[in-house]
Order: sequence, then C-alpha cells, then structure tokens
Amino acid sequence: MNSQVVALVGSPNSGKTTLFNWLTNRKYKTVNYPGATVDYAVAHIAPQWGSDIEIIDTPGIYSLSPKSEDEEVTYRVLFHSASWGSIQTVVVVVDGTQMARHLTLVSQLLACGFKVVVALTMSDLIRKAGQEIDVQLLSRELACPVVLIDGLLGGGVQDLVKTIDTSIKSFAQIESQSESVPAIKPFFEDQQSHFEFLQKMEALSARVLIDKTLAKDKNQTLLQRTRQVDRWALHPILGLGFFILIMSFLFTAIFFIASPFMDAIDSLFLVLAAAVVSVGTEGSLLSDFVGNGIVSSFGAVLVFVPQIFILFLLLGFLESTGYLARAATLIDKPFSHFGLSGRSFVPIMSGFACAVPAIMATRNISSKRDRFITMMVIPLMTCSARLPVYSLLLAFLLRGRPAWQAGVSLALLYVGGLFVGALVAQFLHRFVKKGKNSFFMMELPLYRRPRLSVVLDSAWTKTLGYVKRAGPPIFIFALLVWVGTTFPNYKADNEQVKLETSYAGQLGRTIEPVFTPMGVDWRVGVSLISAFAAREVFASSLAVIFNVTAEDDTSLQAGLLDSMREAKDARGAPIFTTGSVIGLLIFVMVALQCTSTTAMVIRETGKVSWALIQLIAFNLLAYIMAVGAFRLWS
Amino acid sequence: MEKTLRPFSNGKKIKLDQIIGDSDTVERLIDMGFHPGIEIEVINKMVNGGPYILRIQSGFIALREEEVACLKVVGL
Repeated sequence: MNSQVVALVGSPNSGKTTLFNWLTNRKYKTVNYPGATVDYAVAHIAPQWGSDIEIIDTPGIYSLSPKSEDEEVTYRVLFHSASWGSIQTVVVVVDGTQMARHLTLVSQLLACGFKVVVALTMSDLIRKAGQEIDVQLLSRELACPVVLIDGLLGGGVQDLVKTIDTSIKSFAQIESQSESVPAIKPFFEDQQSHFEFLQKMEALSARVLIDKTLAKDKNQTLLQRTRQVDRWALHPILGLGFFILIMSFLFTAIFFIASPFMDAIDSLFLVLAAAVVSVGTEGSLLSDFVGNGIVSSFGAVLVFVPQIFILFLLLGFLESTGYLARAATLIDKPFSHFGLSGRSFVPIMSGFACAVPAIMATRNISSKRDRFITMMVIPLMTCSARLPVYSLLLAFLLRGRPAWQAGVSLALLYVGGLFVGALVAQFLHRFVKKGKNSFFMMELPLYRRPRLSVVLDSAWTKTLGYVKRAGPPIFIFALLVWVGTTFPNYKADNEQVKLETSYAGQLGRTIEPVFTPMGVDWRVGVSLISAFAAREVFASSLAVIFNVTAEDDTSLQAGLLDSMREAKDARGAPIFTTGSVIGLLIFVMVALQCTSTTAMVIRETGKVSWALIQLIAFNLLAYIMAVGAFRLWS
Repeated sequence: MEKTLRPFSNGKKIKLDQIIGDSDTVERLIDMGFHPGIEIEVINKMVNGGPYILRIQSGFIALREEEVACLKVVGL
C-alpha cells in the first residue's frame, strides 16, 4: 500500500507518455489491471526531481465515458482504489494546441472531486506559431494549477513535480474516495448541456491564447504547415504513392541497414563459441556446453536486435512526426474489406518485426471484433525470426543463381504471408458476429519535428523489452535442443552415433511418419519442433543435428549448406530436394511456430481457447500446404 | 435542408447543425469536440469512400464515411 499515488491521464497523442518518461527516466514496471487484459506502467518519480511519488501512466482517453478496453482501464484506475489506495492527484496532460477540445476532460475530473494538476504540453509548437498561453488566467478559470511542459526538452518537469507535491499535501485533508468502481454512466445529463459545456471550453481556450502575430485566424500560423503537408501527404492519389514509398523505404532499411550489423553479431558469436569450445580438452562436456549451448543460444537471441531496433526506430520516427496516424487513415478503406480498420495498421506493421509487440499494440483498437481479427492474422506476417530460416533455405534452393532471384523469392514469401493473412481475415470477417463500437475516428496530430534523442531512447527501450520477453524462451529451447542432441550417449566417439542415439534422435524417429509426407526425415522434424521455441532456432538446431560446427568452415551457413546437400535419408535418397525445400518454406511461412506469440494471444484475448484454435489451425494449414507443395514439385 | 458533408469539396468550411446517429458514435464525436455551431473544414477525402479528413478548430480528425454521415450541416 503506497500512500502517495498520482495518475497521469490524457487523450491519445497528448504527449502523456513522453512526459511520463521525463518524470521517471523510463524506469517503470508494467502492471496488469485485475480482470483486464490491458496493462499500464507504474513508476516512482526519478530522484533528480526531488520527490518519490508513485505515478501511474494510464491508457489515453478522450472523456470519462470509455469506449475501448484500454480506456476502461483508465476509468477503473481512477475510480477504483484497490491496491494503491486512492489516487491523490490526477495529472491531466493537455495538448496545448488542442486545448479547446481537451480541456473537457480536465473539467470532468474536477467535477468528480479529484485534485487535478494540468500539464500543458506542446508549448514549443505554440511558441513557434507566435502564440503564448496565459497560464495564470487558465489556472484561475479552471480552478486548478497549470504547468507548461516542453516535451522535447523536458522543460517544466521540475515545476510540475513541485506542483504535484503541493497538491498531494492538500489531499490529506479530504475524505478518501469510495472503494467500489462506479458504473460507467454518461457524464452529462443531456446532449444540450454537453454542447454548452464544449462551447464554454472553446471560449476559455480562445481567451487564454495570446496571439502575437497579426493573423486574422488565431490558428492560422499553427495549422499552416500541417495543412500544406497534408495537401500532398493525404492527397487521394499522391498520398497513396507517398505511403507506398515510405513503407518501401522502411522495409528496405530494415533489411539493408540491419544486415551488416546482424552479420557482425552472428560472426562474433561464432568466433566466441569456437574459442570457448577450443579452450576445453578434446571432448570436454563443459566447454561444449558453454560454447555450443550457451554462447550460441545467446547469439540466436541477439542476432535480431539490429533489425528490431531499426523497425522501432523508424516507426517511432513516423509516429512522432504525426505521419503514422495518417498512414492508418490512408489504409483504412482497403483494410475494411477484410474486417480490419486503419487502427490495425500499426499492429500489423509491427508484426513484420515480431508478433509479440504487435499483439500488444492491438490494444487501442476500440472494436473488440477488429482487435480479435487483427490478433488472429498478425502471426502470418513475416516476422524477422522467419528470415534466417528463409535465407538458409533460399540459399540452398537458389545456389549459383543470380542474387535477384533470391530477392524476388523473398518478396514472394512476404506477399504469400500477407495473402494467407488476408484470406484468414476475410474468413473471420464473414463468420465472426458484428459487434458495437466499430468506429475509426482518429485524431491526426499536427506535424512536428521529432527529436532524435527521444525517438532513439524509445526505440532502445522497446528493443530491450523484446530481448527480455523473447530472449528467455529462445535461450531455453536452444539449450534444450543442445541437451536433447547431446545426451544420453554423450561419450560416443562418433558424432553421428551420439546424435542418432540421443533423446532428440529417438523422439524424431518416433514421429518421423508425420514428416515423411513433407519429404523430409526425422532430423528436419526435430528442427521444426525445436523451432517452436522461436523460429530462428530452426537453423541453429539443424546445424547441431547435422553436426556442423564453427571450425568446419568460415561460416556456419556455408557448412550447413554443404551438409544439407549431402544429407540422405534411410534409403539413401537426398532429403533436401526442390520439392521438400519449397514445402519447408511454405510451412515456415504459415505455421505458428512461436510459443511466445501463443502466450501473448492468451494474455491479450483472456481466453486459452482462441489461442489454441489459432495454434492448431495455422500449423495444420501449414502442414497441408507444405505436403501439397512437396507433391507438386516432386 | 439538412445535409451531410458529402457534397462539399476540399477547402469548404461549413457550420455543424446536428449530430444524429447511434449513441456510441455520437458520443465519441462529441468527445472529439464536435458540437452544433462549430465550423468544420473539409481538408481531404480519400478515394473509394475512404475516410474524410476534417478540421475543427486546430484539430485534424479522420472520420469514416458512416461517421461523417452523423454530422448534419445546413445546406447553403
């Protein structure tokens, strides 16, 4: 039980999270609200601001009548005082450029009896437009303290903390709030009084805005840039062209900028693993374990970091300029044919890096149905974990061919994933009952120049989050594969014998009949199963099973390709043929081989059944398609 | 006569008269700042019945066609 708790509340895009990061130095933990699938961040105010108040960052809301699941969480945090005691002060983050519309929330909270402190953000934009806000007048009119914040530079944060402290001290004299969550009810008695209230807020915001330019319309200068850019960026035809251009650049960057870094990490861990193995005496179990087990597993986790970082960086950049909301608008109509909305765009886009953060990003889709369909199709997007598998199999399939063919094939696999995703969405769209709240309605923030350090910082935090979430399962399974392929006969002189008698070998042979129709033998089967830890494990476990070690070759992949070429099944026929490799590519494209994703779907839908249906359906579909492909090409 | 924003071309500014539609959509439109008497500027319309980009005061808001249909304006 903490006695000093403050909630940060504000509409989406108000700069709330940026302020939270300034206040807390990003050292927060996420908490799941009991009974809800949405979580929020809780942290202590960073010591440099001279206070130790606990602060809760809530999902964005427009008013006190919640419409989506995350908005409901904010409502409950405010009115339910379970584990943290009452909220002692509510800091309402108001976008200074949108005061007229966002002040409504401030008044509603004040009317509910909360101690309110207003943090007015985007003050830099207002200053640039030659305007100034009369903070004292605003504070007097609202009857609560108002602090100006510069989100880009962190100006005003110290003032805010002091104001919060004062506000909390005065809270002590007030009766604590009720224990139960009041039912969600309309705040205004009738529409007319709501309208009158809005007009009052508009008049107030016009009064506090001091215009220093001579423009007739107060908003003129502020809106000029956004209006000009949007004339082109949201042009019915040119806008789509822009969109395609920007997204192509984003994808190209993910691959081309990231690849040298990924190669470097890959080689580093190869050298490291080889070095560790060579330290031990010949056949030493310990050095083998540390080198081929632990070091290689770490490599498997870290190799994706550059790619995910670049994706988060570019998405963050687009978001902070204000373009991302516009991209969602441009794609809304095409998406609506598949039962999705423009709000599904960012989650699906993130799915190309990793399904785990992508599924978390579905939370601000207000329609439960849209959110559900989005979550169902995200795992079909080509996540970066599929890339090493694709690149290995394509390198095998297209050896000696011109490089562009690999590029085209890779593009086909991406399109293939999207295509299957569209089919699944279409199927669900037809059969899932229509629900309420299927609105799009999106606020498009004013364009602004992003600050590199803020965007970099946020991309880094998100990347670390990925490593923390996806790292342990990848690591554990990679270790399990090592154990499974090394024991019980670890003293065998021959690696081949060691493997064939290993647990993995025994398991693989038991289930071999399942993989025979795909044209592969038990060794590939074991690799496919181990890929359920994380898809990228496929390549490394294949390498372990075919006993390719770093010493054999300069590159693990080259060694693996040689082994694949020589691999024969029990009857002496080659395992990796055009048919079986195409089958494997299609299998990886469709299959949901990712335990972290399934765990995330369970958490976010709150139901085990849907996650299991998704898991079984996608893997079955993948299997059938792979068998079909093998038949077709053999 | 009551009209929707459909016939108005880009750059036009129109006064909002009424908000009529299902209660959730209407409520959210009001949350976004729409109310009778406010001036709406049509910024852009996406092709194929895609969202409208509107401006009220200093806010740019994207609305789907069926959401725009709730906004009734007075015809000129």
